[in-house]
Amino acid sequence: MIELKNTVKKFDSYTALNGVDLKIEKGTAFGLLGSNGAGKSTILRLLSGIYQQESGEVLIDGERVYDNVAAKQKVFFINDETVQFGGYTLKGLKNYYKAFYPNFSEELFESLRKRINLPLNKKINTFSKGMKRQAIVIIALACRTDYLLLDEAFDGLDPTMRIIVKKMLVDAMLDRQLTTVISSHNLKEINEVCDTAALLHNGKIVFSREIDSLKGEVHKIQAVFPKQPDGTPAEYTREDFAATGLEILHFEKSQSIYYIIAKGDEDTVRAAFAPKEPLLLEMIPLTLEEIFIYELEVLGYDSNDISGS
Amino acid sequence: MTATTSAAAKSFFGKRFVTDILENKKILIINFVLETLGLPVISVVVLIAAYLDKLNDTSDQYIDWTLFLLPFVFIGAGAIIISILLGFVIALFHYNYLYRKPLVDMHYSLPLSNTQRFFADYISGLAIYLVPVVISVILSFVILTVGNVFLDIEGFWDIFPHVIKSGMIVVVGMIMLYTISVFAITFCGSTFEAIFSIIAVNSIIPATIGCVWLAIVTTAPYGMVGESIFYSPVFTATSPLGATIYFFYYMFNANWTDMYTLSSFDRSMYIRWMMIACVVTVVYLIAAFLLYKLRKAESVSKPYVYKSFFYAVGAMTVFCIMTVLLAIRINLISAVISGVIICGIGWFIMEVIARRGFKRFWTAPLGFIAVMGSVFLICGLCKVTDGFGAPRHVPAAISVESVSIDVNNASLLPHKDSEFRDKNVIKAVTALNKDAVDRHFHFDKYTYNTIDKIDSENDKYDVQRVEITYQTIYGSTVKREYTVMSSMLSDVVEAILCSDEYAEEAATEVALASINDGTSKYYGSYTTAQKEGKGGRLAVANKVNKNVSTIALSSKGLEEFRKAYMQDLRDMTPEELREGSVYCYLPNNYWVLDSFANTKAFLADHDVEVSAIRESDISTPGYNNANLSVINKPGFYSRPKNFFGKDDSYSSYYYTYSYYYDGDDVNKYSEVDAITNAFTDTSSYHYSSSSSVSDSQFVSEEAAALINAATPIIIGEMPIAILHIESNTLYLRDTTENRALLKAYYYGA
Repeated sequence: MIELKNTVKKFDSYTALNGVDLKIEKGTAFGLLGSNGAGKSTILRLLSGIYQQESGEVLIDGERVYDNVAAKQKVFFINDETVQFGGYTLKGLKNYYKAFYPNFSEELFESLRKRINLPLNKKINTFSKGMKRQAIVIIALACRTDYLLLDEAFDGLDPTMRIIVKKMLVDAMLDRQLTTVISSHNLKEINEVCDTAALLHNGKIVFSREIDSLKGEVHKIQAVFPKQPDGTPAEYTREDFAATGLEILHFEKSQSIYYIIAKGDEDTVRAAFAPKEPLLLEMIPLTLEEIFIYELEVLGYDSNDISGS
Repeated sequence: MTATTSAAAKSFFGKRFVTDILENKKILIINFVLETLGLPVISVVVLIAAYLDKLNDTSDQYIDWTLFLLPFVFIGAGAIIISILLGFVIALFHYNYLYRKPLVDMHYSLPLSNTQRFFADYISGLAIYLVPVVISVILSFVILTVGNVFLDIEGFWDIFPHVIKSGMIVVVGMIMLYTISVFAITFCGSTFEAIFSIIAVNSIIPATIGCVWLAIVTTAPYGMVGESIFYSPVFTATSPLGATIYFFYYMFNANWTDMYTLSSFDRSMYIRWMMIACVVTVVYLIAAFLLYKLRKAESVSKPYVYKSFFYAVGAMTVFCIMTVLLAIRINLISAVISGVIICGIGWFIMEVIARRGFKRFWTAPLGFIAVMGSVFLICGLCKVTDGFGAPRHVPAAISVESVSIDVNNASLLPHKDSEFRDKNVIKAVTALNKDAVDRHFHFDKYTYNTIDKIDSENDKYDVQRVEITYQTIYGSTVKREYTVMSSMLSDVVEAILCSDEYAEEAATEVALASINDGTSKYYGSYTTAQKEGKGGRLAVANKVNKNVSTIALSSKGLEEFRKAYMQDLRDMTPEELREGSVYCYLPNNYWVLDSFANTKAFLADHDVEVSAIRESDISTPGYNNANLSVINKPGFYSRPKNFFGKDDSYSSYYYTYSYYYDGDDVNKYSEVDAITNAFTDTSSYHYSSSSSVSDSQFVSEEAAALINAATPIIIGEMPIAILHIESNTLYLRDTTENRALLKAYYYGA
């Protein structure tokens, strides 16, 4: 299990993580979401032992990670760049990592390589960006670590290759309970691969829960209310709905139709709206992307700035 | 497939080491090629040169061959120099991942601790650097050994210990160069700064040490020897540049033909240098490791991870520039202004580069002012404290392991650079040193002072230039140079003559002179002659330097004699030295005292009996004049330059004048209260100048008695007469008996 306890990470005067608490159960496919500079990559680098936290704890299976060979041996980190592998051939890079990961499986490596048809003896700097990503992903999977950390994992992959790589990851998760932590701006892919996700903003966790339950807890509501006794259209404010105990993420009114994003299960939402006797009450489940946008909107983050959305 | 987790952490140090080597195999190959072009090529050249030497060919063809070989010497030397400088590059290549974020991610995320990663990288880099050197040395050894089988090069095996020792200096210097480079790399965050810092740190460490010394020597020069910094381990054992200087010093000072008669420098300094250099290298390594361990991965791409080192290098550079300018100044104010301008320009350029622009640039002038202030403070302190008290510092006798003292015209000492470990010599030299320092700094306490203090009376005193080198038990070398009164050296001379080192050197000198007597082949080393079983002829002369006997001795017999004479010198007490009478002379004017039982027994065994001087010994057959001259009541004065028409080089000698010399002139001179004949040259003066200074040349029984009572050794006292016989000078001590003998000599018994 991965645990971050009240973790603080600073870069000079800038606080990248400000008291983050996070738990990732073994076998989970965990998505890290967040705005730019929210601290996603920092968490991955803390988990892979590259960075050392200023305070708090970063644990893998109960052991601190930084400067701890035993813990680091369980983790493979793929960052968002590939230039570092340019000087190697795939074979050379494979041998390099094989030296440090005793569980490395040649058999698995070969089967994965053949699946995506990567050349063994060509310099990696002659590969396309997507091929480079594939190369490091198959090496990472062949290292057979317990935890795989991917920063912008699917960046540069074409749609077909995305599917293949995702399938590889899913296979590994199913086969050997690989715990995957994926940070990405591409929420669709997180949605497809991950079962749990956390949203980070300004170095803090906004939420961390299973994606399905997350989707079930946030609703886009379209409602129309009857006119008032004097014949004028019903006028409700955001506060009127918040007063019912709902957490309103977004509130918008167009003529007589109310568009509201609210947190809470379906029954609670319906119960909150019932006293106002809506003529129309339609509840549409949100995509992860919408949840991301509305959650950050509440925190004052301008959604137009979020890349990948 | 089921997920597996290794139960225990494995150490990947070895794996990292191997992968590092494999990743840098190109530079390994380059280094190997360079090393192969280095020593092995030079070895082949040496063999060809040795072959040509054997041919003893002086034809044009020989000259052509020599010219043909010359480029290969340059190729070999060039290859060695480049391969040594590869230390920078290898260090840079091994830690280049510190400067690129993707590489930091890759390397830091591997299952390695910081310690494992650092040392695996360090050792693999060192292996790439040094393994080709080892292979090259082995290859050269094989080439030379095989060549020697055919050429039988003279002294081939004798020089090997030195070759290994000098080679070890190079290896230690290389390790230091590599380690300092790693150290410089660890406090930088980008490649440009790393390259700059490697060069800066390697240069600034010796430069700063040198400039601190320069500041001391220029502000408080009394007794300080400027160039002594170059053989102080503080300078030579703390940087690769220093090691290079030490290497050349060793090459030019080592006794290449005889390991057993090493100079003081390579006998004691070498091991000490090695120890200090190794310790310093380890300190650099520990510093580099701590910086590496503490540096944060996120510091990548910052110009300096530890900015204090940038400022330290900058401050040291400013200090060096200012010190040099102040040392060579003609005018203090112009030196300061020009120094501030030069340093300021350099400082701000470096600040702009290090800051990558003008970010918070207002702090740059503050830093410069602080550094400049510190430099002036240090220079001021140096001035106020008389070079931080360095000129006043005299090592305690107990802390001195050995001392060597070089006195001009030191005729009593076999070798000028003889090193003495004898405690009495060390005590006497430190006492002399303290005396010289005290006379300089407490001028008013003394009737006469060290000459440095009274420049206007430079020629008034009988002075000697003394150079003292202490090797302390702490591994430091302290070198001083003073001009002192000759009489101040009395105790030092006495201690030296009674020391074991003197006994060994004197006995060996006599033995070597006997070996070289009458042979065509000259031996520079007694050990070599002994190895070759060379005997000799020991000449024994009486007090008037007449040969009494010449004994033919085998190598074994000569060694027996050497041991006997050495034992007698060792057993000689200071009282015997001052008061004993001379029995006979040995080659090179070495004397045998009456108390030298072993030597006398040896001579007796070889039927040599030296009688007291008789009247007949004094006269020269066929001539009326005696070969004796007696100077009664000699007055010892120093004199103004050129008084006797001699050139300046004679001005520091003692001269003796007879009692009837012009009194008015005599009053102009400063009388001295004691002499030590180790440094006098009265005989040469006497014979090279007018005979009028010799007041008597009588041949009589009384004259013979006078000679028998006189001694060639006078230490710290005034004789009542000086006797010249042939080339020997004897002194008559001021005793009642001697006064009676002198009176009898002049007026008859």
